[in-house]
Amino acid sequence: MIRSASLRFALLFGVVFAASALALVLFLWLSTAGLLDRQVEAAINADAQGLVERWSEGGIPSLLLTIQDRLAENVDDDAIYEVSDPLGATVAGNLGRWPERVARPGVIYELQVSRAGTHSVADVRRYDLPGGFRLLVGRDVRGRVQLRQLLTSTLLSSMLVVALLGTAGALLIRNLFRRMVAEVSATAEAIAGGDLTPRVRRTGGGDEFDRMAESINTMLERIAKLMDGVRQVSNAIAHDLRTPITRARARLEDAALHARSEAELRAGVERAVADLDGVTAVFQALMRIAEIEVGARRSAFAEVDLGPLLADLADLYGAVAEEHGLTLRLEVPDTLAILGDRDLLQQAVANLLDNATKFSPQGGQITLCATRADRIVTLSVADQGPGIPEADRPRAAERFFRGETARNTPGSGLGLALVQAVAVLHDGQLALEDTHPGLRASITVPAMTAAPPNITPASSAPHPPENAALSSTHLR
Amino acid sequence: MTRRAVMLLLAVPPWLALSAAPPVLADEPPSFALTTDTPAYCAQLVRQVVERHSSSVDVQRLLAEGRELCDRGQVRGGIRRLRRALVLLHHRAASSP
Repeated sequence: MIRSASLRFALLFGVVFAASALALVLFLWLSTAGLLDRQVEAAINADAQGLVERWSEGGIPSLLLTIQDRLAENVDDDAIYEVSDPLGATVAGNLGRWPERVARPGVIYELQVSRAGTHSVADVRRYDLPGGFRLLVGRDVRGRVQLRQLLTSTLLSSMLVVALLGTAGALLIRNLFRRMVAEVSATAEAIAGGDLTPRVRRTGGGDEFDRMAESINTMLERIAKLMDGVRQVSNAIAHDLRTPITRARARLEDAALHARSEAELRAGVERAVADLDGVTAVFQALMRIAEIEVGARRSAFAEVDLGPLLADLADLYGAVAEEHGLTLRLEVPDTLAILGDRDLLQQAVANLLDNATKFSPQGGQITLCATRADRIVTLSVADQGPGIPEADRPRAAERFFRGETARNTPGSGLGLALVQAVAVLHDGQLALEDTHPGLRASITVPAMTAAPPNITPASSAPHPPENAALSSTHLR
Repeated sequence: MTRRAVMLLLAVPPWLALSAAPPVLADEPPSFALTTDTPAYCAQLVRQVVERHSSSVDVQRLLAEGRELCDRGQVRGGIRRLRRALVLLHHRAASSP
């Protein structure tokens, strides 16, 4: 039973509530009954001190006279005195005889007294005087005792009310906790059972429980999206790789069954190897995207000058464009520094240029542009091809996504996925827009805040795009 | 909860009232009767007031009331008035040149 968290919370609340109430009652008691006790004790001590001084000044006669006067003028009707000689006989006072119980000096005794036939209570204290005389000073505390009884009864009764309220509060908290946990638990159980659609119900109060429900629901949305993505990628891999593998198998089978010479057999095997190389390239591209998304390469970021980098790419792809009857226009400043991974940026731009080359019509123009506005650097590649339909654009950067216009074009559907991964790695994003006709793919990344200092040789030196050739295997 | 229920809840239960009272022991010593609550003491205070020969109206009124209460058996009430009279006399004696 103690393993129930709701019960523990309820007990904790009950204990804290009871402790608070007890502390309050104790404070009230000390502030009232305790104060009255201390006042009586102080009055007795002050009275006794005055009497002892009289004794010191005038001996027994002076003491007796003072006691008589104080009794005669005791308007509060609460003073009690007793003076006895060394033999125990009463010398003065209104008690009649020395109470044997009052044996030790300095101790407050409670004494039962009779006042004109009515019962009363007195607090008395003994003081020893020189010569064997004893002095007793006291106060009738019947009123104080009655008040204390009333106070005690009231406080005890209020403790009963506090106990009832504490129990009710504890039960309320327990039920509230159980209800909230039950809601989360039911949702978690449904999800564990394979149904990803349930969500934790929000109370709408905007409280902590609401915020927790919102966080859990956000987490579930994210998990569902990831699961969906994994499922899509798995399906895409199975679908896209089946064709080249089947083709490779068919080529090998054909070569094995029908090759009439070693040369024919070798040619069939080589074609199958080429098909399987395509499969390997797809896997390499997938692994590269995954590696980029993990973000491990961010630690190797360095200052990169995009001016020379884009100029090199323009040189390489200018020749390729010319072969396709296209023109490549370069609009890049001489120097444009950002913090990033040179190889990945190069590969991303190469992918965009490769796409533009593939989809541009004969005689079209490709524009490679880089600009800086405020703290944002934008790299864009614009072509005059068919573009991407607006409905397909949000999914264009997903792995293996191929729009209708790209069905008949070679590619695996991983090119833009890699570009987007590179953009995100650089705290940027990939945007696709229609230019009527054509498509403009833009990568926006943060610029370096300070003016670029001396460009390091590693980033400024002409650097051939090593991976540009590879990019042609995994494009839009 | 009705007001009556609240009053009942707040009312002192008998066992609580007993527990709050001072303990009464079986071998509790006998009570001490105070000698300043007796008619004799009342008479003594009357004599003290009369001996001061005060013409104060207040003192005379308190003396008369105290004496009457003592005579009627209300000794503590009478003594309280006589004590007030003595306090008045004391203050007047202290303030007179």
